[in-house]
Amino acid sequence: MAGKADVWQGTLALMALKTLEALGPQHGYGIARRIEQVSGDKLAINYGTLYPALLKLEQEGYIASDWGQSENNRRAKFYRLTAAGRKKVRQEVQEWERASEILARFLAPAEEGR
Amino acid sequence: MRALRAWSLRLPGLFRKQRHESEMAEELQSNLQLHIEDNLARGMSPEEARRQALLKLGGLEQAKELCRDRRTLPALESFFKDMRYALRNLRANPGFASIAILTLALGIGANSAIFSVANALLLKPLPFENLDRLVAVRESLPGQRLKATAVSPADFLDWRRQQSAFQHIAAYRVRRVTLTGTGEPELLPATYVSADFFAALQTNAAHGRVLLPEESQPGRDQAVVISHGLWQRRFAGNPGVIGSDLILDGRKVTVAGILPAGFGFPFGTDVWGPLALSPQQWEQRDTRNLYVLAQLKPGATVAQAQADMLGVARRIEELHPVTNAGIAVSVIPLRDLQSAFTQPLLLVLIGMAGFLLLIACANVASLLFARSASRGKEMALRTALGASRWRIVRQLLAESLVLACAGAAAGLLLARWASDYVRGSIPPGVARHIPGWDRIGIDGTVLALTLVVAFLTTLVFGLLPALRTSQPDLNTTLKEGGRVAAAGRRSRVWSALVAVEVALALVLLVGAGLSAKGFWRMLRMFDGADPAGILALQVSLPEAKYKDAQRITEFFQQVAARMAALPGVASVSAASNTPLNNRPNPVVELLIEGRAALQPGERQPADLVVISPGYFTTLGIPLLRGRAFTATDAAQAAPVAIISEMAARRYWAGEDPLGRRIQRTGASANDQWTTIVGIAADVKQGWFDKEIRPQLYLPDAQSPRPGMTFLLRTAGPPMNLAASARAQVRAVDPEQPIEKLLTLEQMFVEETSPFRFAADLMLAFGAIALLLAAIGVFGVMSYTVAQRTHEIGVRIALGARKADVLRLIVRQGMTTAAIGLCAGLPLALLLSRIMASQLFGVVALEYTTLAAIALLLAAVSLAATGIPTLRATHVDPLIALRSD
Repeated sequence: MAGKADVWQGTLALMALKTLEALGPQHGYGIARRIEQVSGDKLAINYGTLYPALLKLEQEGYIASDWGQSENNRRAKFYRLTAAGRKKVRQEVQEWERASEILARFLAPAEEGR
Repeated sequence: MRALRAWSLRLPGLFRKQRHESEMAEELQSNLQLHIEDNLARGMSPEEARRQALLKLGGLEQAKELCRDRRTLPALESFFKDMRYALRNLRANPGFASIAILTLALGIGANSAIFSVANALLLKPLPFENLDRLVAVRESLPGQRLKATAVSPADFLDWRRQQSAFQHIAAYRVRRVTLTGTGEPELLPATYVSADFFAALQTNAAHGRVLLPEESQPGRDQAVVISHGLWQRRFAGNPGVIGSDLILDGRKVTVAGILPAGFGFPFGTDVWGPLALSPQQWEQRDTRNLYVLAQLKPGATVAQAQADMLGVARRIEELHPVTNAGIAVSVIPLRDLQSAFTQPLLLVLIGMAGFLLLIACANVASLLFARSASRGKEMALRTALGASRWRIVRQLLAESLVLACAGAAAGLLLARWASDYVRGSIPPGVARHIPGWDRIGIDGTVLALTLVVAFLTTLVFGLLPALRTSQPDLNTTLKEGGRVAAAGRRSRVWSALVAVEVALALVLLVGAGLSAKGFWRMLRMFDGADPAGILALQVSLPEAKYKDAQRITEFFQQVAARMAALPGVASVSAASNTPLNNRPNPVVELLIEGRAALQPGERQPADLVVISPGYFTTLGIPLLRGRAFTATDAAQAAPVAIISEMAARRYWAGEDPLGRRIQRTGASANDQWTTIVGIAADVKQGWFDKEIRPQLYLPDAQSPRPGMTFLLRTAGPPMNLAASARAQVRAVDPEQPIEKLLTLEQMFVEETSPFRFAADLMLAFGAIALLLAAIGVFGVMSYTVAQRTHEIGVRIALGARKADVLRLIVRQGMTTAAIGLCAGLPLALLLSRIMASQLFGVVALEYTTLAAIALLLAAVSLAATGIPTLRATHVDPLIALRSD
């Protein structure tokens, strides 16, 4: 998996939540694939790490799960966003934007040179 | 909030493991399939599709494990897992587990039992909430080393007026009264108390009322309160007894109230009446007949009260030098006064129980050590597989915890049983004289103490080896044979533990052996007739009714004659005291006719025993010379006496005392001289007497006593005659109570029972100590031998004879035992000295006993060493070589 970035802690949950917001109910494999696609295959999602993250989100009540049929008629567990989850996404997105904006200012070349 | 919700979901996760497990497997599986199908759709070969998908998943088991942790609470779960594992482990080693638990249980049980006895007898001998503030106040004569004597009425009044340290101060007088009127006449312990008595003890009546202050005036003193015990026993708990009349010593009194169950002060009292002294009596300063009890003011200490009362005493001394010169006061905490009798024995027992606990600890420690060493490989393997040190320590601690819990539970059961047994081990007649005895039981303090001891012991002794094992040198431990090297270092620790055990066991066994032997000797101290064949019946004639000597003599002669006529009675006698009952005889000073007056400081004391004819034949005490008393030695006949062998030897050395005449010092000039007509063999009066005392026997017709004990030697079992003997007393005087009716042997047993109780306990402790020491030696030697099986195999394969190998290993074990014995000897000597000083005449320092016990312990150690070694040498060398 050389060249591909590992997902750093904390962001995986947000990515999973955002994916569910965009796609609606989705199974774990679908979420993993989607995250990889959106990242332009720059991220490699190890399913082993995604699964505990999903479990945590479920325990915290941001997502819920049901068993259903996949597009090719396979039994799979589907995760969907709860109301609390939707609120959480909005909140997290705002926080990320603020954080990355601050970070961006630090990293951008100084405009008012010395 | 969210975290809390997650927790609440995770907690039940502990219990729904099965469902979660299958759901997780199914989900992972379905996702894997989805991935494979995806890969197939992209045109991969089936094998490639599967391989890629698995790679991506990143280790199925690892993913599952992460989820498991996430789903439940790992710390809690691993605790349960540790406990379960510990239980399984202990079950797999039932020998180790049961020995460790049994050891702990014995140690803890013995300690809890002893502490519950000590708690009841020493710490709270009286059931008063304000016991800490209650004191006894006594007069003392520092010049004559008299610490606590009774108080005169006038002094008490002065004390009450002048003192400032006490909230309440009360006087009381103890005597026995005869209850007549309803049913069998009965002699009751009674206490006559001044007004403040019940206030000082903060006691109220359970039914009715206590005594009123105005009832202390002569003429208004007809009220009494009775004990709960008497109420139950005599009046069947009928509340109607309040307000009814009783006849006490021929005088009518009214029951005013019943005291609460458990109240008994002075201990054993059944009736409390008002101390109604006449004004003349209150003015007496030279008759000291009152005891004084006081309650300290809040905040006042015993020392302050002592100082205050000394000032009062000095003022009285100045005003009344004739009666009170040199008289001081001592203020003694009531608790100390009550436990004075039981204290020395109990302290010895507590010390022994402590030793026993130490042995148990050493035993458990050596067991845990041996076990941890034999598991070194297991631990090294687990460490190599990634278990953290903390994880291993935790698991070993879990095992200790399980052991401690089981040991404590078993120990408490044992302690409960033991304290019940102890409470029942002394006849109620004797237990009545030991304050606190009926309250022996396991209470909260004892319970807490036990638990703390159990857990500390096991955790400390579990932790040490745990810390040790958890950092094994992986290379040496995993390498075959590495443990032989480790064993050398460790075996020193066990050897030390075993030596300590042997030393402590020796001390306990010596204590047990000496006291058992002492008790055995005690029961054989009386070498007269078989005490089991003699019925003793004790009678005290009331002074009021039997005023003149004539009536007393008549009573005893009539009853004795009637008893002698009973079928089955071989001989009858009466005596003022019986041998070996610890009740001292009055001491008289002898004056011998024709001798020069005694030098100042020179004394010729003798114990005075009044007997009726037939005494020596009834008890089987040999009459060495002369004659016994006969019916002709009547009141008007010439006065005669019999002396004991010791008296003859001490006061007539080299002379013949027969026919000599004596007088008691203080006799007036015109008193008759008493002729010595016989010499009897010596008899011991007190169990604890250091020496035989000279005795003087006088015939009862010539010096009548109101209190005598009838002694009946019977052909059959004496108790069969109890009822008819009692009937003879009633036939002569229907109102005369009988104080005691039992065989002489029962009397001996009753008198010795506190000591027998201690001896029994010490024997039990000794037996347990021996057992534990044997287990300890056996355990460690088994382990050592198991460790050396390889070595033994090599030696035998190389041609060593089994006997040589046996000798080699046994020598090692016995060296340890010998070191323990040598270390224990001085301690054992010290203990036997202490015991000999506490229990005069009963326990003596005996080197033969000491040597026998040391030998016994050595023999047990030899067996405990030899058995495992013998077993090892019988193993086929080939198997032994392969074993390591």
